[in-house]
Amino acid sequence: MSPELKLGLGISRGVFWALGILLGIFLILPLLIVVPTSWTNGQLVEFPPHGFSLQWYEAVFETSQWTEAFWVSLKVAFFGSIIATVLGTAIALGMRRVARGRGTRVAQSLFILPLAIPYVSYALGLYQLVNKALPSSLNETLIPLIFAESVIAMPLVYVVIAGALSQVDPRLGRAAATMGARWPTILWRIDLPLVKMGIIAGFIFAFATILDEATLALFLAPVTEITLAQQLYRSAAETVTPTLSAVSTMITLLAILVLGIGTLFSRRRVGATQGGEA
Amino acid sequence: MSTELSLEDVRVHLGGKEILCGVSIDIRPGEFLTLLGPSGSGKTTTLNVIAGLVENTGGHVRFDGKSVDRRPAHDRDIGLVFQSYALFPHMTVGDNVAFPLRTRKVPKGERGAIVERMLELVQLPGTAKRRVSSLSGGQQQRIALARALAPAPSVLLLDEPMAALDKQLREVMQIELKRIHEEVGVTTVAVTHDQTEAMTMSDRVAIMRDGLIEQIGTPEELYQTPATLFAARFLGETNLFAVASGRLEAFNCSATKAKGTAVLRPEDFAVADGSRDLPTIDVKVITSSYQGNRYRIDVDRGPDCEPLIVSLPPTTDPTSIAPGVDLRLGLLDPTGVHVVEEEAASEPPLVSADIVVPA
Repeated sequence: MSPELKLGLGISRGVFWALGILLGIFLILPLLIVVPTSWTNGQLVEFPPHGFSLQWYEAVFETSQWTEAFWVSLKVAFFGSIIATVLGTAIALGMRRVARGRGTRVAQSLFILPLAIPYVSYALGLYQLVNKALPSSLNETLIPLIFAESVIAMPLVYVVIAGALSQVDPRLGRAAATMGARWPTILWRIDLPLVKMGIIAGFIFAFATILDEATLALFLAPVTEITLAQQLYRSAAETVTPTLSAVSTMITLLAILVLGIGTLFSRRRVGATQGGEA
Repeated sequence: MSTELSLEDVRVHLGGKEILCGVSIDIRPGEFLTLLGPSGSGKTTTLNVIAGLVENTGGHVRFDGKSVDRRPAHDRDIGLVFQSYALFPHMTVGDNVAFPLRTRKVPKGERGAIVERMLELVQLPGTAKRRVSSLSGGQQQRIALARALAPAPSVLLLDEPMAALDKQLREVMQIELKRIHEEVGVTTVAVTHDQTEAMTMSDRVAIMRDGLIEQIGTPEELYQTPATLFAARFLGETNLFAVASGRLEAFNCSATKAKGTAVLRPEDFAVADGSRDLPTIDVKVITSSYQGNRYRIDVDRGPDCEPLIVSLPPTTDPTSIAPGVDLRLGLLDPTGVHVVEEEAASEPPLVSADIVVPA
């Protein structure tokens, strides 16, 4: 807490501390229960866990349903976030070039819209579209799902890179132009290097989002290839076994890892673009 | 070798407003010209038109007689130093200076030598490997200059190059820039609203106002014989006296023109001690301040008149010019008084026109 805030709040800062701690517990409690249940020695999801073993983790790795679903999820997340990153970067760079006005504000809202619409209605619409408009050879692949996921992840990339770009002096591009640089050179040597960290961070956030997205997958994944989130739903609907806890723990760990790296990059971005100002 | 730059009736319309209303300047090869004017006078727009960053809606810009109106900025072979320097923060000093060489396809082997020569020119040798952010403001300014000059451009453009520096550094850099200009000999156009800076650096100064050139000339010409009251007020400290029927009424002596306004500078006066037969005026001292090389005194010459600004030698007895003292001032060169054919009342005084707005 900064000294100013500390003094400003006075005695009442105790209340804020209490609220903060409560909120933290509320967020972390489910995790504190799920994780131990995954190392139970018994056959049931129970808390406190019965003894300790890693048998349910072994079970996950030995069941092809889980490992295949994991690879499908990785594939979708990887390609989906690459497309999202390319789109988001292009939009952020493009929006910077067009003149500010009412039109640009409308466009900005449109590009963020995928974050706001309910995934179910979007998925339902896409489902109809894919079934009617695409040949069956295509809608039995992961391609429709990858594109759908990239659309919902694109706003994240756009927001991160637009934020990074707002730290970049717009005169740099003009300066480069006066030095004989055409736009591809400006893009490649000036704009992209300056938002490099933002692009990496955007990619990672997109990846983490797509990795455990379930709604679109339920509608659009082909019957033969289902994602990890789908597999979780499916087995939860049948029986609740400690396998679920083990998978959940691993996904959580992966998400923490990936997002941690992402945060690290978005932090470094600030440091990298702050130089050179008078 | 140096390029001749000419602007002919250049006009710029932006959003229904006319920002430049027909600017014509001929800049000799190797000349250092400064565009001086208050904000909104169109000086930066003029610079951007020369750079190709703003399109002229009328008139022509010519480099060595060839029109460059249709040539975009990257095709004009110019060097532009931005007010904010616009150094690339993700590159080293050397890469910054080498950037315009790279875009001009200068072979890699030759770039290093040019970069080092440029860094020597701006007196920062051996800094090529350093990060831009590790340099001070003044050093960054020098690097921006080195970068602009590296490809030996046809024209060097400077947009308020000193605005971000503190006063002392600014004075050093003005002299430094003049030295570099003399060494390189490139045709240079600078923009400033600082009259001292304009006079220090330039061969000629163009005073701009409302999208037009008010007057263009050497610093001496502009200071001694301003064409208009605006020019007189914008450059240097000015005292205005009405001239009617061929006489300078306040001093009761004859003037060079029948009608208009006489422009007198602070150093045109002396304390009248009776030793010489000079036209005189009786005034009362309002304030006096010692400025090292002179006393500046502001004196009252009667109701409904602007106070006069007068320079007196630093050896003057301070008690003789204390506030409230009555003083008789003599006009040193009554036959050389410059008269502008405008009524003083037609031109409102500028409100601190030379205040430097930091970037």
